[in-house]
Amino acid sequence: MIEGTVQLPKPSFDRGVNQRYAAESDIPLAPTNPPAAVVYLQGDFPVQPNQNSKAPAQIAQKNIAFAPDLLPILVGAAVDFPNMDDTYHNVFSYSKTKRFDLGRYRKDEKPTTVVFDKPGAVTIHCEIHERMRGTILVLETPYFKKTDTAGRYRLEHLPAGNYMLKAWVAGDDVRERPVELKAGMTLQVDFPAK
Amino acid sequence: MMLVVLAVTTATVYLAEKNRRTNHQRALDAQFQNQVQSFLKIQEARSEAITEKCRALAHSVRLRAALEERDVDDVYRNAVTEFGEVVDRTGASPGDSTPDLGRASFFRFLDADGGVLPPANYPAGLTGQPSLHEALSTMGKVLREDEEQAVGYIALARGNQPSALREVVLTRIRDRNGKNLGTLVVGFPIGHLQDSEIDRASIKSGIWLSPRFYIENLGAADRRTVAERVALGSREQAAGHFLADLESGPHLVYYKALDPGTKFTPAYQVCLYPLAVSIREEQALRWKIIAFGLFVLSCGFVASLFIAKRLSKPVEKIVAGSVENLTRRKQAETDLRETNRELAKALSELKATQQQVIQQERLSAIGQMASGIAHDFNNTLTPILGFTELLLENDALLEDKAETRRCLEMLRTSAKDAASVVSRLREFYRPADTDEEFPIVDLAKIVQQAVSLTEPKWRAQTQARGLTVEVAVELKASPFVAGEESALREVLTNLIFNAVDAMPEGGRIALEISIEGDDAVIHVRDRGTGMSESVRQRCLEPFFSTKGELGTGLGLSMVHGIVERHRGRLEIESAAGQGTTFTIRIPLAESSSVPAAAISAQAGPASSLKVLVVDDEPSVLEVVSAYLRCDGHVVATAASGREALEKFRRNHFDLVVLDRVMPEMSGDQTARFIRQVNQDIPVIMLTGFGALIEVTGSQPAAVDVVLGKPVTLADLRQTIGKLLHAA
Repeated sequence: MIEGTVQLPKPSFDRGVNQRYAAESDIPLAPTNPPAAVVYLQGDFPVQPNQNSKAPAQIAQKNIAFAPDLLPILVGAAVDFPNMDDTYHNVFSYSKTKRFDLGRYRKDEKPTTVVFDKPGAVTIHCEIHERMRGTILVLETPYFKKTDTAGRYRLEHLPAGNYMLKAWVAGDDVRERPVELKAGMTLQVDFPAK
Repeated sequence: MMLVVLAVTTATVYLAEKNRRTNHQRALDAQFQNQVQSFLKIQEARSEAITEKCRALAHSVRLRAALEERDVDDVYRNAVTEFGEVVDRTGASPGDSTPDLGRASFFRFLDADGGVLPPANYPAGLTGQPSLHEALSTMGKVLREDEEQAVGYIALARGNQPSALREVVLTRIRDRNGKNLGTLVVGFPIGHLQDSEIDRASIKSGIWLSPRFYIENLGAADRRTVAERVALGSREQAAGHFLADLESGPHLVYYKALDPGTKFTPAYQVCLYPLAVSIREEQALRWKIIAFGLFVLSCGFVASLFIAKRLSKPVEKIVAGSVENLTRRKQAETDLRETNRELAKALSELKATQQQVIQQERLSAIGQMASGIAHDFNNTLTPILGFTELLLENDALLEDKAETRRCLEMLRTSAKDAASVVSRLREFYRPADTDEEFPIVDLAKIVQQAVSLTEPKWRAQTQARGLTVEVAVELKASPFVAGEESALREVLTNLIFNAVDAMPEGGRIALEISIEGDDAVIHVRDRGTGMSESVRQRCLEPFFSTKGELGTGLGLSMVHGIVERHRGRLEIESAAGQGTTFTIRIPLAESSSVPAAAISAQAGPASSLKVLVVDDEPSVLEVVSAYLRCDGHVVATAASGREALEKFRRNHFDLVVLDRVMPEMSGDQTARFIRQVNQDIPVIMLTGFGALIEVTGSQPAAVDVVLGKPVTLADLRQTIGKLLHAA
């Protein structure tokens, strides 16, 4: 078991920064999602086939924001993008990991489920709402955990051995620490800011 | 003369040329500014058109997502849909002389570091220009991190034509947190300056982009010359002008920075104005001015000749002129006299008008005065009524002769007081310029009398209050004046009363009589409270009083009226706290004047006459009859005009005394009828408005004398005596 804290960047408020593009100022801005990070154990693990048969993960569009805005998934997993707002959304990604474009859809239209078959970070946008931004972290390891908003995490049921423990904070901020795991031992690993 | 004209002409020519040169320079400057303005306007219009596009593009989530992912393909694919219509797709290559100014010739994206993102196969314009990307990435690196938009210029081809140049608009693209994602670059062809008012064939304009000068139709050597000069000037200032001697002739060259404040290659708008035309114009103007100068010169010459001729005219002419002058002067004198007469006439008219105005003013005061009079009059009527009733009701009282006499005395006093109340009207309604014949009176005697008469007031009343008022009379002379004794006495009485009132602490009143020149002078001086300047100015106005309820405000105005009536002057000298001095000046009587009063006084009761007395008021009828009978006349009475006429026709009368205001037939009418019967009969009219008749000038023609009511025995006696004496 590993537990610890990832020092997260201060939450950023985009209010005001981009006001010259504020064409949609009439839409009430929900507070940005609190920051979080994903901690995962990198290694060569056998793929567990039953993982893919699970119900698809979900990134909803709620209050003109992605919920959650950071989602770690195992490679090959599927994600649903239900629209909970009363307005149109158009989720797309230009990321090389996964390019997709769901087109415009409303609350009652069920968009296609997207399967992420390559590992990597996928930045998702909404074409209509420029402030909506989310990340899907497609991982090759089943041992990952999203931290809480204070950056705390706990990884359990880990295999013993030498691995690299990584903390994904942002596209350009991935921290890593080598760990040696032994059965029945709890390791304390903190990721301070670089 | 000639020299002066010459100097003036030279000065004029000089000034005109100087002025012309300044004007020309100013005109050129204005022209250049206009051209630059219009050039900048084209830029502005273009940038306005694309700013919206740029903003929309920069706003596009897809474009930003693509820039973020550094996905060049996505970047251009998204941009082409937005920019398709803005970019000129005709594929005009640089150096083409007819570019479409409204359209951009290319667009590119720079990454966050200023490097050019190649458009691959997308139609972003000018894709076959390797030098373009080099130039753009230089610009992208110069563009500051915080700059949002900038305009610069680049040269694409080797040529020296402005069409080889491109105006480049750089627009920064940022993400939602303000992070620099890249830059959008749009390039435009450069247009000609457009100004229809300018002769485009002779005026040339171009762009200097360091270090070359891009212009059409200008020789290589000239181009180099201008480029060097602008390069020199551009180091010091953003705009300026210089004179260049080019192969194609002298030119005035203006230049102005197109993108001041950026760090891009400096670019200047340059205009060449040929001076050949203006020099020609200048020469033409010079000739015009010189011709005008010559014209003025010859005019001056002719004028001087003419004047010389005039001066040498024969002297006889001057003599003839002087005779003419004399006649004219006489004419002028006559005219002046005529004018003087007219002026005098106007003055007298003015005086008459003034008099009328004053009269009207006085008349208008009657209303105000009536109430005051009524009040005083009622006061005096109270004892009259009281004593009369007392006598009539009380027989025992009538038996007591002494007591009856006392009552009668009091009745008379009250009645006289009442008469004097009414007589105040007189002083107001008698105009000063009436030709009154006054008897000669002794002023010293009148003064003495006034002092004695007022003694109860200044001695008894003041002593009762524990004060001492002393009245001193100094006789420096004993002048005689023409005047009405009672009126003059009233003047002095009033002044003494005022003086007493003005000395609440007691003091001395000095009266002084003297002669100054042709005037008799009376000073009445007190050492009392005096008057302030404002009070002094108003003290002669009727109803103006400082004594509150105690004063009528009539005393001094009456004094003034009386003095005026005696053709005298009233002077007041006063200062608050210093006391007051009244000075009365009345002209001395002429020695030849006959004391008329003496005659009337001596007239005494005349021989018995038959008198007809007419009045609708029985009491008046009775009193007048009693007076007349008292003097031994035979009296017949009539209560109306009609009755009077009947009696007059039937009987002989020596005199008629009639009332003016009567019902049915007025006194005036009655008098006229009586006169128709007997033209010589003397008629005395009694009226309560005696003074008014004089004022309004409406004394009935058929009446000899008008007597004001109440009539006293003495009055009546004197009048009758005068009438018969005259007859």
